[in-house]
Amino acid sequence: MPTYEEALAANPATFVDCAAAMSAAGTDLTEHRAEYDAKVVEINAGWEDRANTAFNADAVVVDDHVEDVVSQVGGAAELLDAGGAAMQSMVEQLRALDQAYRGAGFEVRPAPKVELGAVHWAAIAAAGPFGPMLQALFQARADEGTVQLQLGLAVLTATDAATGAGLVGAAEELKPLEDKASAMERTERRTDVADDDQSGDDTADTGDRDRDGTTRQRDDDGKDKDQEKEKDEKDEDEKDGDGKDEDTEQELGEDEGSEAPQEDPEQPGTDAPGPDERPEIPGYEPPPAFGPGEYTPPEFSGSDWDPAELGDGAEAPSGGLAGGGGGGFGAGAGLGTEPAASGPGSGLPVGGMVAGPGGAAGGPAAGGPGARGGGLGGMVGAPGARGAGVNDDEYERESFLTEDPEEDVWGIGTAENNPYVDFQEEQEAEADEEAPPAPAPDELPPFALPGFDLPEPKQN
Amino acid sequence: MNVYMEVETVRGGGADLRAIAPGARRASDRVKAPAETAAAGNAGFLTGDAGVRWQAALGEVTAGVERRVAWQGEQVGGSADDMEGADAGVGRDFRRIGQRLSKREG
Repeated sequence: MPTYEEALAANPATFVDCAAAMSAAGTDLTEHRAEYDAKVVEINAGWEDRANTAFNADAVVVDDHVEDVVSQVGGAAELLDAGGAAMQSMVEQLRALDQAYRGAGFEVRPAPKVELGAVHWAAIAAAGPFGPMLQALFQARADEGTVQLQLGLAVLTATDAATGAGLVGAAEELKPLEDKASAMERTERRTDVADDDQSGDDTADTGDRDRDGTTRQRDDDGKDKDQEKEKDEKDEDEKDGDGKDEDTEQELGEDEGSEAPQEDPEQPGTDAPGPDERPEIPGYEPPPAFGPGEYTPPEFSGSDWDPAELGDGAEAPSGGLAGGGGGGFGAGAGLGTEPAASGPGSGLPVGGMVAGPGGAAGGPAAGGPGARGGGLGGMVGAPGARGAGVNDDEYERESFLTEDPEEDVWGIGTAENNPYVDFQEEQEAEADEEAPPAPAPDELPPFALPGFDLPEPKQN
Repeated sequence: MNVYMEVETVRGGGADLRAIAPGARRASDRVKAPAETAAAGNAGFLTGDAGVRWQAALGEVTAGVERRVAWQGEQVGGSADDMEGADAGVGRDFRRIGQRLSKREG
């Protein structure tokens, strides 16, 4: 806060000059910005890639920053210009007042305070009896001058304070851009990885971002794939779950005898194992594709066999045995391209190989579903035979064991590591024994099941 | 994303950016003397000191802009070098492959 004497000695015009310089600085910055923008445009004309995108992003930051600074500088210049001009006129008024009182013989103390001067005292003394009246008159004028000067000084001080505070605020608002030094360090570190040809020190951060971007993208791709894979697996799981539900539902439907199993496109057997997981049967060739007219799905509604016959407790025996039967007849159906190869005759030999236990322990049982599956394959045979609504894992387990043993994907190809070696030998032996006796289609018993002896349901 | 660069243009642009970078400082330098004069000629005025402080703040800002623009110039030049280096590397690889192929044929 200036004292009265400081105020009189002040030269607020320099504030106005300073404000003019600030305006000019704003102009400088505007020009600098225009120059900079022109250079950026020039550079962009010959450059297009990720690094250029990054450069432009940074250029926009600088451009916006300089624009902000220009407007801040302009605001501060206006503030200082207005404040300086006001102070200039106040100081001039103060000086004029001061001069006027001094010229009238008053003494002006730095408080500021106007006092009567020697001239006044002489006049008072000379006035005789009117002296006190004259003194009161002079004193009133002096007091008026004091008030005016004090007021002028107060206004000047307030203007100064307002202008100064405004300028300090403007100074605090001027925030320099963050330096990119850290980024440059990063680039320098990166150069050891860079191509030998590069001189190294100048490797662009923008290029860095570029490569980072690519890597990130690649990672993302990988992640995406993983996620997709997971999603697929999940989908498959869900499908499995759905399939099981439908299995149950379908059994209910079968009980009512209203729905033929093969009419359901969402048949659980069809999508439970994904296409890739379908067991490969050695020596089995994919069906040579039925011609459009050649293949007609057999009617099942005529079958007397009903899973309900198995009773509630039948799941244990029927699940395993009939599951095997179903697998067998899937193959049977594929092989059975000859017209005669329908019914159990076509299925049993293959069924015996794939599902030995079914053939050995539950021959009759396998015959039952097999009769139905002869045309349809394991897809349909399996659910029909599962019967009592047990979630049957038999299919998958078998698929693991029989999946392309020649490739030995499970590492159990050698006899010494193969826990199933005995079982497999047994199976082969059994298959050898059993395959020949498969009756010719002609000799087969009629396709009827009522007299057929199912394995005794396990009574709890 | 297209990848395209006129290496010399870009390298020259980088150099230009470095060249114009100090231009920012001109702005704050211009205010320095008047601000100091005003502070000296108006003793006791808050505005005088505030002007000096403001000028210092502007000086930091312009220095920051200068450094940033210079840095950008370096990066742009570095990108040009990068591109050129990568281009040369690819060319060398192709030549090497070509030589190997011709050796095999011959």
